[in-house]
Amino acid sequence: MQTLQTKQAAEPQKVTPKVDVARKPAALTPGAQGFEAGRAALSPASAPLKPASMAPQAPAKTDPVKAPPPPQRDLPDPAVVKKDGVADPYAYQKNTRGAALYGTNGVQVSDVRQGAIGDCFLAAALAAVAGTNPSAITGAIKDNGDGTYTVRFYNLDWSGSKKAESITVDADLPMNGDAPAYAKSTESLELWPSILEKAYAQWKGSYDAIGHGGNAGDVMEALTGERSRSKSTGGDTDALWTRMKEATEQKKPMCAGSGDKDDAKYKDPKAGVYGWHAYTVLGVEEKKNGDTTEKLVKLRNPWAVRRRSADAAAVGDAENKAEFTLTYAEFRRLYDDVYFNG
Amino acid sequence: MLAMWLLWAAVVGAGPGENARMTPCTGTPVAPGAGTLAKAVASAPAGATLCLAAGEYVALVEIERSVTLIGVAGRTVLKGTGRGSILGLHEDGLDVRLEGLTFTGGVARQGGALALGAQSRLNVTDCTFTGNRAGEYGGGALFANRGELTVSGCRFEGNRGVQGGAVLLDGVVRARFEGCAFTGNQAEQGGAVRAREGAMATFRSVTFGGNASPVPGSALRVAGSSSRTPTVTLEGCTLGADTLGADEPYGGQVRVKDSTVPKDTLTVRGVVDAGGNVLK
Repeated sequence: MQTLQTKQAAEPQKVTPKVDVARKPAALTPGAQGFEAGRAALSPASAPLKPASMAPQAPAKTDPVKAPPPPQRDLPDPAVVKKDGVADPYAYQKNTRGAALYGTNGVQVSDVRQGAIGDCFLAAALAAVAGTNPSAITGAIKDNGDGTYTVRFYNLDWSGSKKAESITVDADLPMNGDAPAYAKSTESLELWPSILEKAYAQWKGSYDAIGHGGNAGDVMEALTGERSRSKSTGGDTDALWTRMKEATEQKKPMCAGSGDKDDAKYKDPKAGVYGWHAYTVLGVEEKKNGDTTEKLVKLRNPWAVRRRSADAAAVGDAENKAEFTLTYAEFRRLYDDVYFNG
Repeated sequence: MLAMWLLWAAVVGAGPGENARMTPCTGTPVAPGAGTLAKAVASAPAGATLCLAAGEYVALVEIERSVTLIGVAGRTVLKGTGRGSILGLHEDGLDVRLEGLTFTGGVARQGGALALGAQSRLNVTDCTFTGNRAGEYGGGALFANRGELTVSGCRFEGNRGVQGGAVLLDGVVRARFEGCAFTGNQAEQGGAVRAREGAMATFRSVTFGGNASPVPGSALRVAGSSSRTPTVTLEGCTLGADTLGADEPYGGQVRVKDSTVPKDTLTVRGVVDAGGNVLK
């Protein structure tokens, strides 16, 4: 039987660590202590510098002898994605890279990069919540201090009331070379997108359970505990715009889904939008231009680039930024649904 | 009711989805064409009945009030635009009834023909779903993740989805299928039907045959999470050579009663033999 092979997984790419060599944790011992050791090594460099005139007057204190880090827990890991019954070749590796839960600038939309798994709906939703309500991300993840993280998700029941579900995972990740194979941060030593994706996979049973498409609205619900709803872009255009404008003003997360990947409009590199793919809607804007008002929609591809590298080269898009802006008319031409949360 | 339907089917030779309406439709007439149905639904008062004449309607309609749509079975065809579900229901508190409609060519991320994403009631009778597709998630013909869904006397043929070639039941939907037939549907998971999360579904007197998926569960495959799993009952159903399947490690429960099933079916993980089954 011919399999459908429909969803968009991110283009495999070589990840170049962005970390400054001077700040790279030195000589990390392979093993479970990597996370804590990495954080300790990073913290001096990430602390804000104070001018000499603001230096404290009190005599310097001697650092107390640090207690040894607690033993690291090793938890069962969710199974990787199966394609046509064959498991992905990515083996789990411990966090010997010294990656920390958050990088230098906390939770940012720009952190999220989808990996080689068909869960664009999840990556787009993570970025949407990160951009509008980052505390929903930080509040959902508890660092247990032993190399594990407990993530709180919400289920909405039949009556619409929410129930919290706690999922604990460690930081072992399926790796492709020296980078996580699935969701990762654009900051090479930041973990939160990988941890949230791993916990979501653990919750649903495996990476395979989330790697065959899904609903961005469900993920936003799981993170915020608020109802998601979808709207077709083919319905009442004024009502849809009003709703998108309200969501932008109220800082509510939004995602959008493109349509049939076989449609010619998704094969045009100039359009720079791919079919059967979920995007983060960063917001809408009404821009005055003389007597007219232009309606604009700002979007982000969860691949962390807008175009596949060949397409970017074909249209001379050297920067290939993940964030881009479309007119509302173009947005409605290229996207079929908008997912609202809250 | 089922006995009456079976008697009627025997007399006129009709199968699911081919049952002619016995009483004429009384309501607002709607003529075939592109966009005519969306316009009629948008202007209909809550509780209205729309009578769809025989013919083809190219449609992409968001239903935002309670309404009944009645067509001429086998002759009123709702064709998708290729840009989303033919009919979408995303507002709470509605009561929507569909009768005697053929849905074809619907293409959407989920629910090529119909999508129920709200705490509403959707009743579908004597309809045919053929050649619809859900390319990103599932439910080539029908997707529901909330509300109450009742489907009776319907045919699902040749639909495709990633999860659930014909139907994807997700979230907290409660569904009931009666006197329906699923044939020739295909998906990566759940050739005909995929039930996920907290979905609760009953299939009574439903026939499955010739549905396909590369993993077990060409008729039905269930998948849950660590906090909730779907519950499905098959009663008086016929599976032909189609199979049941469950995800690892969180599947769900499939209770099988008074059904005709392939001989290995009752030993599948998650399947509960509720008695009266015939093994073939």
